[in-house]
Amino acid sequence: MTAGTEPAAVLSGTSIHKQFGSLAVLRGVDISVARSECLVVIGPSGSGKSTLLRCLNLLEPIQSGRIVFEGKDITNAGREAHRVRQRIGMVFQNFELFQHLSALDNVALAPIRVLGEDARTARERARALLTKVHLPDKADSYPDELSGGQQQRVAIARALAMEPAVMLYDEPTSALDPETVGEVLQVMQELSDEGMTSIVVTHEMGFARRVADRVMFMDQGEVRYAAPTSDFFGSDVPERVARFLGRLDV
Amino acid sequence: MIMPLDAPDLILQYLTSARFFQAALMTMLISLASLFWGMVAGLVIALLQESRFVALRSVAVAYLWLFRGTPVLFQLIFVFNVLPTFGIILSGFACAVLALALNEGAYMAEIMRSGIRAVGRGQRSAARALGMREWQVMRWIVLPQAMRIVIPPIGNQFIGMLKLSALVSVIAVEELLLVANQTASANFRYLEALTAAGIYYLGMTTVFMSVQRGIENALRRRGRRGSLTQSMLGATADAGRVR
Repeated sequence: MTAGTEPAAVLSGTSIHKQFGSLAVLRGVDISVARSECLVVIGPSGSGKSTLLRCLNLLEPIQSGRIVFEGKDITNAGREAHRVRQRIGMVFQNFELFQHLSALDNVALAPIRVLGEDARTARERARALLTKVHLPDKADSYPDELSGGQQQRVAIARALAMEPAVMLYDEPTSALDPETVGEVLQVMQELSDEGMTSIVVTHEMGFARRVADRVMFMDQGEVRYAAPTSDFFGSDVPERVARFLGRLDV
Repeated sequence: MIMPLDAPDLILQYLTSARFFQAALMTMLISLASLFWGMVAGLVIALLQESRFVALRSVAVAYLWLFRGTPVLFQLIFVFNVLPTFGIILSGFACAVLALALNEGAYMAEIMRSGIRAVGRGQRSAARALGMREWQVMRWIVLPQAMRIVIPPIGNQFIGMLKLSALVSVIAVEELLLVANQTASANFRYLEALTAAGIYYLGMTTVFMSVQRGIENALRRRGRRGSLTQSMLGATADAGRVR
């Protein structure tokens, strides 16, 4: 992200309110990610980070607020919500690879069935994407034959296959063994370096320092602090943020 | 009672007779056809049950209430004797399959539904996040996984159906029990005729139990799917046993 200019937001949410029953999960959240930017969202569990991601790609309805994607207000996309989601990639904490399909078919399914892409082309592209996430030889493996880190990388390839304008990562490494966290973060970093716009909900502070352009701290459904990465990890941060970072031993 | 000396010969003669063989074939055919249409009915009912619309869910509830709330023997006799008064005249075979399939559908719906429910919400979220419409999520993600889960309980249903099909002897379909009964009533050799029929039944159920076991083992080899299968077996093994 170049300093001085104000790049148009790819995806943004304005004063998003979300309730589950009487529980207010998001209380007026503002979020915005610019093209090629990597925004890392951190915060204690239950702070509403994951819900925020699910609201942004319309998996969860919101009570009030506005969501804008590529300049279009998608808040009330309604029956067209699936079209919006085709352009927003999402990676889940528990991978959620389709258990009945090989790695290759996990990646190729949506292009074939959703975009109507020809099966041969889609599989060729899927193979290329598996190579991109460093799994060229796992095309025929089923999810239950892969390690967590491998599954998550297939999940990233699956999302990339739809050629999304932005990637949303929902705690992508929280369910992984420590040994495999690195390989997933590396792929995410490579994508970000290539200019992929992304919002990453994570507890990996090392990743935030290395890769993020901006970091946002959420607590109890509100954004408490957001700043460019160098400022965020600087000395002059609100006490609540410092305490949170301190607990994480940064 | 003393067993007649020629009993083994007569049993063997029945077992190898064209009439008994055809009757066993009929039993098999009725069971397969009823199971197939029962699966279709069950899937439709299960999808109705999972629908967002109250009206559709009510249809499913009414169906289950009707077909689980009356004896299958009653349903058979009803279809056979009442439909003709409305000008719908079906063969005995068609009546048998219609009644058994409608009845089976009510039980199959429960199995299908538990299979659909066993596919986690996360799988649906992932599919929706890729831009699939609801029907595409169902078609490409949920149903293929649900079908693997329901194979073992459906195997149980098939074995149940083989035995249930004996009921259609009351509407004069030439299946195994009717043929055995008719044969015996001509010469009062019930022991021999019923033994022959019993051997056919046992043979058929044994073959299918081993087929089922083979399928289950194949599924178990696929790791997580196997454990899902196991948990589903526990949940649905007794579904549809009591009629």
